[in-house]
Amino acid sequence: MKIRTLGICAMINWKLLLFGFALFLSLFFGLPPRQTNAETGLNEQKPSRLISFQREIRPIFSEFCFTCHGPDANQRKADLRLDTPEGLLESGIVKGNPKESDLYQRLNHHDPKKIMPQPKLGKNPTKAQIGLVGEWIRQGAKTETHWAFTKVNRPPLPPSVNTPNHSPATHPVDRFLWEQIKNNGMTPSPRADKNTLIRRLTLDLLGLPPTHAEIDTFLKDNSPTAYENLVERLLASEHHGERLALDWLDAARFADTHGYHLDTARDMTKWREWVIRAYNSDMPYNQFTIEQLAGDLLHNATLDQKIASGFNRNHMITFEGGAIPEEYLNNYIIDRVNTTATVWLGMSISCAQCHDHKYDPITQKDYYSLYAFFNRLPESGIGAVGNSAPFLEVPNKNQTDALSRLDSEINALETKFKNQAKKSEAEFGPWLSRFKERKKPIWEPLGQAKTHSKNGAILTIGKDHSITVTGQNPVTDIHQVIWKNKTLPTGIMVEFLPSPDAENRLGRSANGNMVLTSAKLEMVNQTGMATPVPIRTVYASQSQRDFPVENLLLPGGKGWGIFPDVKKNHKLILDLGAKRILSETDEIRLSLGYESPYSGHNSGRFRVTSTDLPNPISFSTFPESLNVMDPKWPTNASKDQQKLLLDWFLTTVSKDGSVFKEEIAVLKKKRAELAKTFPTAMVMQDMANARDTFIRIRGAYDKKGDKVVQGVPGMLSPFPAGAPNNRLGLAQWLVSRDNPLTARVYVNRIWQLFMGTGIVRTVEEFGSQGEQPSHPEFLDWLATEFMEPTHPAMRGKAWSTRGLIRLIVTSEVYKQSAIVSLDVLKKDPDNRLLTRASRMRLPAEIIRDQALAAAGLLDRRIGGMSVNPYQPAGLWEELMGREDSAKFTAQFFVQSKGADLYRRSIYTFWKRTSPPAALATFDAPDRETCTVRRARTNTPLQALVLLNDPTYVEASRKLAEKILLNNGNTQQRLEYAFQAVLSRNPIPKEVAVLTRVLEQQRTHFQAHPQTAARLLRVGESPFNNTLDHAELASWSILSSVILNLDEAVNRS
Amino acid sequence: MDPMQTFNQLVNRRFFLGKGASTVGIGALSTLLPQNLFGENTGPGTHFPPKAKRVIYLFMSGGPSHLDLWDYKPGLSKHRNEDLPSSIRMGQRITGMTSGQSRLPVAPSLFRFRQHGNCGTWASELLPYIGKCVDDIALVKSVHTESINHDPATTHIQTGSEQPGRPALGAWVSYGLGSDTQNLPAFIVMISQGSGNKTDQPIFARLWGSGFLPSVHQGVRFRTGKGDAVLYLSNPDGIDETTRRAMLDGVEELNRLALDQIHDPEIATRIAQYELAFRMQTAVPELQEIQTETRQTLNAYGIKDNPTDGGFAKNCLLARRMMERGVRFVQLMHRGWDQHSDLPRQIRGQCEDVDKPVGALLNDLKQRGLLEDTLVLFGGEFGRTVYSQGALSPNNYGRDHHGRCFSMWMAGGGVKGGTVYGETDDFGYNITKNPVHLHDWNATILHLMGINHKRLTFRQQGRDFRLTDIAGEVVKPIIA
Repeated sequence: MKIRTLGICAMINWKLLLFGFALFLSLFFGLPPRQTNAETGLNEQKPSRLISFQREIRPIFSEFCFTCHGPDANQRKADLRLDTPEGLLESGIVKGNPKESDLYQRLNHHDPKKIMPQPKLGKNPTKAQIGLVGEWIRQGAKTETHWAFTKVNRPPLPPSVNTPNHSPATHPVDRFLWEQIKNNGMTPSPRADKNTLIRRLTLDLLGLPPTHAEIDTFLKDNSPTAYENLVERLLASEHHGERLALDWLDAARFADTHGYHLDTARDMTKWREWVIRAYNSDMPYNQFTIEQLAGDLLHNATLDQKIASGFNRNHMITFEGGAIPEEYLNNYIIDRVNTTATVWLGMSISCAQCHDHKYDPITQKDYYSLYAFFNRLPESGIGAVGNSAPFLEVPNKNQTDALSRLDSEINALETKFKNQAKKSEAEFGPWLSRFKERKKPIWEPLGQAKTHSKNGAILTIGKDHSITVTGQNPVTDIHQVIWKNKTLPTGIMVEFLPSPDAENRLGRSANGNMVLTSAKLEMVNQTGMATPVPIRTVYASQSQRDFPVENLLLPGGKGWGIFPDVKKNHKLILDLGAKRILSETDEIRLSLGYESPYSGHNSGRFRVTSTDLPNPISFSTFPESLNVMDPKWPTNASKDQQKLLLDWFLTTVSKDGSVFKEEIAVLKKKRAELAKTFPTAMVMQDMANARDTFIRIRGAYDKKGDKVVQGVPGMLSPFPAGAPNNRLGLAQWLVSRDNPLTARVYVNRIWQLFMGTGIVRTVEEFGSQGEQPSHPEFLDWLATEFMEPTHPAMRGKAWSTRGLIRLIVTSEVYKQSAIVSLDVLKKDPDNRLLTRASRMRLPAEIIRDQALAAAGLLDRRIGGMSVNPYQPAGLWEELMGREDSAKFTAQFFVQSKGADLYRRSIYTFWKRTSPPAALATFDAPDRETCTVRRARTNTPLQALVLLNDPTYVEASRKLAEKILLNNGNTQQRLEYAFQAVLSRNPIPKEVAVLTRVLEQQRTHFQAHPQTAARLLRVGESPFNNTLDHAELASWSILSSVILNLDEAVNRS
Repeated sequence: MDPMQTFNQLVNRRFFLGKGASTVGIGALSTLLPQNLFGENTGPGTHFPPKAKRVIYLFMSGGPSHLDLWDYKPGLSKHRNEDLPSSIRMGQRITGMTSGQSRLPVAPSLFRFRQHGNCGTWASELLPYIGKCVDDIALVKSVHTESINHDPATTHIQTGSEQPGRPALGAWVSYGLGSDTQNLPAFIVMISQGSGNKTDQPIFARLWGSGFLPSVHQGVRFRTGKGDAVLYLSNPDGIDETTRRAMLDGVEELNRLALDQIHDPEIATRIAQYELAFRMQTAVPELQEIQTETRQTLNAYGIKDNPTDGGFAKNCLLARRMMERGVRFVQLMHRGWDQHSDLPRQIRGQCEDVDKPVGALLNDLKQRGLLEDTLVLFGGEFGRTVYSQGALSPNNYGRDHHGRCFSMWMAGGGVKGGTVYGETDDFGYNITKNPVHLHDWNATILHLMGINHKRLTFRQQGRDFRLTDIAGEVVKPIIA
């Protein structure tokens, strides 16, 4: 088979991987390209080394064979599996003799029906790969379990290596890496200069550039521990936790909105603060894991531990109308399983959602057994506009104090009320007799009435006096009811009732809602002249959020709505004040207007009654169950019933009682409003009676297969003895010493943070289909050291992230220069051997934070709510904007003010459906799903951001102000500017370029003072008016040039 | 040797070693890299000769009613207000919005249909202009999807998966074929607000996202309202052309000094990207100058001074201008098609937004000889139910979401015009002939672009992902 020309698409496809892999081999083992027989692919020469099943053969089988002969029992052909040692032996391998081995023959077969893999699958191994398989059989076909699934053991340290640029290696990191470098005939680079080191280390550990003073101190520190001192200072900084949290937030798919559909706001501030605090206190990774996966299940869990469990509530949530709860519940749980597997096991097991995994021994049953751990939350698939249950209220100190103050005031008033009530009981008897003398119900039906619909609906009065609306449902309407009465009532009650014609809902719109925009009462005399009756106040038994009944009193208000309680009776009471006598010919006309922008939101059935009792709204709470009008009442009533009426009397009629009641109501309202402002945090919680979990056939949420119970994939490591069979046990299993993946995966990700690439490049995939580790022994050593520390850098603390980082950054490998020769670049373009420091483009957030820090604008507060820095107008609104957007949160972008504009980017409000534009341009993910490896692209859109985004233009100007306030000549000022961003002084050639730009701009802005003034006004921070405008403008340009340098957006 | 040249070679080398992704930017493909993206001798970037080189996807977000636009059901009037027969519904799931309704009354379309063109394709009276173009259109009446709500359905048809995280069609095309322009992004998205429904469904950046593909392939929002068309395109206040040029010269000189010393090929790429950004600053405003078009053209598209169509007509004209400039994939997202209630009034507004401009776009492309190799696609994420949501009255009804069948069409490059493919039952509820799953639809689009949908893959977490997941059959009968 010929290797085709490779291009863009192919760059990630298998051919290239293998091409790269082959090159790798020759790099690593110093082998010349292998000579293979063109016909058979068999290596005709005696090989000089042993073929590794793990590294060379298993990946070939995984790539080409496992789909049909792998772990997935349903897809397995010919009952042959090649992913287990037993299976391989059954495949007709004759050890030592490839030509006699069926497996080998099949790879080479001339008969298209017999050759494997079958041509129709479109994937074929290369001759070289077939040759490797043959050679492996010739050497005896030794098999091993996939490396990542075997327990981590500590390999011995390689001997110390002498290299030209360094003293003999003592640091274990150096010993492992330099051995490899030496074996490949290369040399490590010399140590980087101190300027580079302080910038690299400060950016890596804090995500911020060092200050002038910090650079100065470090440069002047000639002690042998200068570097170590710097490391310790940075590790102790509060900003260190923010830097590490950034990557964890990606992995945890943290965001400030729900993601689905209208993408409204949520608030997981407390969880983010927890992560930052946990890193800052160097919480051991095993504890970090347990608290985030199962903090709520810990014995006597603290509030913090419960908050930590919010890790698995960061997934997207929907409340889209019409969404099927079960479908989304399934989505949420799937997300938890997949995220947990990627973050801790470094494996995608999502294949097993639909069928047994094709490449790794994870069955569909394993998948749903993990699923069962997360299927115990008291949650519905349909969330809320904000934080969705289960969540905790997490008030701050001020809030709890205010709350207890209110509570004691309420208590005091209630005591007063009780005392007063005793006195008021005396009034009750006479009131009751007067009430009963009326001999009619509180609310009387209208008698003869006429109805009218403005826009052609049909209004029919039924026997129960209710009016049913049928016929067409106009876009807007006004329903009128006209009747006669001797007096003008003191109050009107309109009951809105479910209509059989509207799906037994109150409104006739698609969702059963109705929006009443006006209620008008008029007296109409014989000549048709109408006199409006003012409405004193209105009451509704319930109102839709943002559509309160008080809207009816506002001319042109949004109206009163009832959603989502569209099937329940609602009462509307209009208080008309004192009763008035009417002339016999006068008519009373009630007009109910439905003139909102919401089409057809008309009532479907309603009943109008009236009363002549004073204070009609007080009767809204009248205990209707009591048949007070019965002549025998209260003699035939129970004590409880009598008390019910007495209580009502005391709180609504009795003069003194009602005063207290009003005061109490005011306080209670205050209390409720206060409670509404309490932040909440979504958390995990297990129900006592969990839902059953079933295998979902082909992953479909509604196709249930066998029932399963919670459990872990036992092939990795056994469930720890005595661990509870819930999420807590799952977390304990993940961090048990026997788990082969958790430590390897985590140290690999931390390594990636400092070296640019993981030891396993596919940090998200350690399974058969992932890439092989570049330094397998070193990976295992590092993982063991992490769990069972021996090196002083670990300070004897197991699972210490800080110790691990200290260990890595104190190595010579980390401290190398990034400068590379063309020769080395050709030999190892990807720097997999780490013969030099990797130059990495900074993450989006750090590019912004660096500019703000250099400009002196950065707000360094830790924690708190997310903020909205500059963003071009309209980005959210274009996607979301609707006429009713105001009902929801996070629909309109409201730019923050003052210090909030300059907070660290980790606090930027993350709207999933429209992620922060400038950050997204620099590859910040949308946070819809778990991300453990960001892309690092290099695009023209990034140039536009750095050149034109007000963030950077303003930062350039503020940096210029700092430069100018720092006295000195041009050379000194240029040095100050360069140090602020690049932590070094410019070389003479650079000074020449910078000086030229500066002088050009000075001339330009001196000639165009207006232009200079416009530039200085970009951004919300005021400019320093004591400085010369043209000078400030030209230095702003110069600062912008520096912030745009490749070096500025890279760390090297 | 010129340092740029040296590093171009290095970049190429890195590229062949599988690390190209992080070095490639828009347009950089064509300057730094060979055009042959898939190998073999089949022309740049394709598996076989393409019929279409560019795409305009007119996405009608919200789910336009196939029953009121394309799928003519004259027999429905005699079933008016009858309950949907259970033999038709067959217990299939319906959304939470109508699953509580006691009745599912059949609502025939209030709109008249007529036949158009030589082929005689039926179209609603709401679409007189598009109707005139049916001889260039292949109408598929049997598209179907499993999704029944907006968020999963739009995500599904745009990315091939209901769940977020996968690349959009346009991103796959950009990834597979690269760009034909040096000055503009390969994949551009334009959004407009429908005038028919003011409380319509939201859309999401993931609909043009790059998922797990390198983020250079994500769609770039091109905004036609206030502000920059491409974010951060304009120089800030107080920085004019001269200053900008001086800055860029300074940045480039300093970057070259760094390149000479450090030898990181990424620096060479960054130098090139800054130049490209500078060129975009000219190319984009030039693209936007629609006033250079003739009055006749502007009238044909129905571009008014104060558009009521939320900008859709202007976006259609811009799409044509982008095609002329080599943009690979343009996606127009027109919101407002979610007619749960008051459908007749709302859909009339929606059609007034799009009918004339789309007709004009097809004619314009044709006149300029662009339609031959430009693929134009039209449709939404699902169709709508034959039964009324809420009350059915003589002049009014609403329709709920319906994914079991809906109508989409394609025209232009490689499409067999004048075809109607697929049939639905008398209620427009189930497919009776030639079903086209959205994966089939997407496979067909890629096929017309010269791409075998099974071979356009990207490895992520150990699996080779495709736009069409593990499905997709090319719909050959609609291909010329």
